Amino acid sequence: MICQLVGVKKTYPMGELTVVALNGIDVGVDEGEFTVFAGPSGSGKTTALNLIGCLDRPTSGQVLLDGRDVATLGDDALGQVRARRIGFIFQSFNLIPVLTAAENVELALRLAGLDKGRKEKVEQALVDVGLKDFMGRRPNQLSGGQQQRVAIARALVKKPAIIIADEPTANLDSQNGEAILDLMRQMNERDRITFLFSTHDPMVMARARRVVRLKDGAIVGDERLA
Amino acid sequence: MELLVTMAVRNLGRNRRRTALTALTVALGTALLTVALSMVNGIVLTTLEKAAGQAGHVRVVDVEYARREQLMPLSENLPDTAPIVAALSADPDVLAAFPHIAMGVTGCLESAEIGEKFALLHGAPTAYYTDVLHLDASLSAGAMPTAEDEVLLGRAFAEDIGAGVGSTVILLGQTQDGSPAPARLRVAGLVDLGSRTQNRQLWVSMEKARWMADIEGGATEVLAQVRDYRASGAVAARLRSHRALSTYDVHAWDERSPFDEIGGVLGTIKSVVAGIIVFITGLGVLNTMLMSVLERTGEIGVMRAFGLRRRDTIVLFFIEAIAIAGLGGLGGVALGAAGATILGRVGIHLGEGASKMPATLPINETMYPQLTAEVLVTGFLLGLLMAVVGALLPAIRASRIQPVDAMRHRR
Ligand SMILES: Nc1ncnc2c1ncn2[C@@H]1O[C@H](COP(=O)(O)OP(=O)(O)O)[C@@H](O)[C@H]1O
Ligand SMILES: [Mg+2]
Repeated sequence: MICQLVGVKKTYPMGELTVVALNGIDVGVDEGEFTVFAGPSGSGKTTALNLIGCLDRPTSGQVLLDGRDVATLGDDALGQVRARRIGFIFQSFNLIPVLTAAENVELALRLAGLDKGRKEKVEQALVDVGLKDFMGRRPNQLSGGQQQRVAIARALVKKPAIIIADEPTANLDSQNGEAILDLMRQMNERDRITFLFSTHDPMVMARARRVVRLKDGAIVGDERLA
Repeated sequence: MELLVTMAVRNLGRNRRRTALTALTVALGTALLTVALSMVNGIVLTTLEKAAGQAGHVRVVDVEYARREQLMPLSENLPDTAPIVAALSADPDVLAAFPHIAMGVTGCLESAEIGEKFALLHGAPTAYYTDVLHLDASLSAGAMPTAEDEVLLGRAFAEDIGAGVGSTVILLGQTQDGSPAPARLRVAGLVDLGSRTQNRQLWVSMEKARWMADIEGGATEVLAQVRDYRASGAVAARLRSHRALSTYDVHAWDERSPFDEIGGVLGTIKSVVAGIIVFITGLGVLNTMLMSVLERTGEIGVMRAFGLRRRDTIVLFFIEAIAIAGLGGLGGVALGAAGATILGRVGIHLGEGASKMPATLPINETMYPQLTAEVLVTGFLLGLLMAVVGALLPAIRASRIQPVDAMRHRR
């Protein structure tokens, strides 16, 4: 088990009320999985991914990474864990606009403190996502699909234990979205890279090997597909 | 770290107008500061040097005179100044030593009733008037006195009593034991020292002053000029242990009122002026930096998600601020140098305020800023400080951005 939520509850104070985003869920992700959190908007997908990705801390319950409760780690230590063990892909790509594709990928390596063979790793990652000829371009010189490929390269380059992607295809047209999913699936099958992503798109769910269904902050289904 | 610098520098080009505005803010602040510091410098270099000269770089007086010097007690004089002058002159750092008598007098034209116009009368050797006070260079009419019954009048006093070159004036002073001491003198010349207070003085020969005060062969004080007026303290300390001087009060100009406090006062003025300018400019920088931070919430969150530490976030914004301030500061120093140079030629009229200063603080009504390398460096460094001050809050604000903001933030 790479990461696991145990009885995790997350609430947000909203003035007088508290919004319950996750109402005590238990779920874990194993090495090599290609899993999607599926559910309508507001069901708690992003919240769950943030907690598994150690971007946020639960209101109650435990978040385990490599079997260890991350609550014991301080912010900087948690940052280092994220930097080395977890890769992120965002819905709106979120590349650093002033850095080129190669520099964006390099940044992830530097922040993880991985300096050995940096240049080669950056190149390889960009070749892997089919952007060999776009390494020197800035994000605004790339299409949405290309930007998301750079984001994949950025998440991938440090060889994390898991890559977490919140609705990675939501900002892409269906053709580009499918291409991105194919790429992710191919990396999963070929290199056994673990992916955990979210979607509310049935087309995307169909590509996953495991679908965890969320509704109103609770898990309402967990099925493995062929 | 390299990548942080790269990012910081490229971030400057993202919103060029804003970057230019911030740089301009720093440039104006730095320019203002350069001019202001040059002005304080001008006051220090011209006024203080002159004041030190007038006061005597090192002064020897009777101990009792020093205790009551506000009253200028003629009775507490140095009865025989010759051995004192000799002892002072023997010191290698002393250029010259002069006996000097200062006393308050009233004066009027001979043709008028005895007037109520006050003036400060000085008696000293001619060399003191020319070499130390440079009165010959400040003559506005007439010539330096050559005879014992001639006097040099400050312009304001001359106007007060209606005297001109060639007039005969009657002065009324006191001897050291309090008897009236009248003198009838011919006006040889008029002097303009740049402010009304300073121009309410008059200068007579050593002999005439000694006669009026009834201090034959003596004076109220002996004033020594030293090679470097800033080193007066050391010279005074050495002279104090001289056998012939040990019973007197021997002190450097900056150890005596009012100059003993002037260094601190000028330092405070400089700090306050600099502080205000740095603060205001810092506010301008703060404003634009805060906008940058808010705009970049998403990407800062992303970097935090990828492991950027809070303190590195702070560093990133400081690098940006310092880069902008470096550019703005260079421009500002150039602008300020140009301004100070032009003002240094034209001069700044300080107005009547300068005239209200006591004659011991000879501030001229027109001030000339002095630009030095030190001012340029200080101006530039304070320009950087403006950026640091202005970037502090935005940088802290940026460091509060949580990694989860990367997920939530939509562009
Ligand atoms: N920062 C927040 N403050 C308040 N409420 C929030 C916050 N983040 C999420 N929520 C609420 O939590 C619930 C789950 O949100 P989210 O995890 O974003 O769902 P999903 O990603 O499935 O759309 C929603 O009702 C949402 O409004
Ligand atoms: Mg969501």
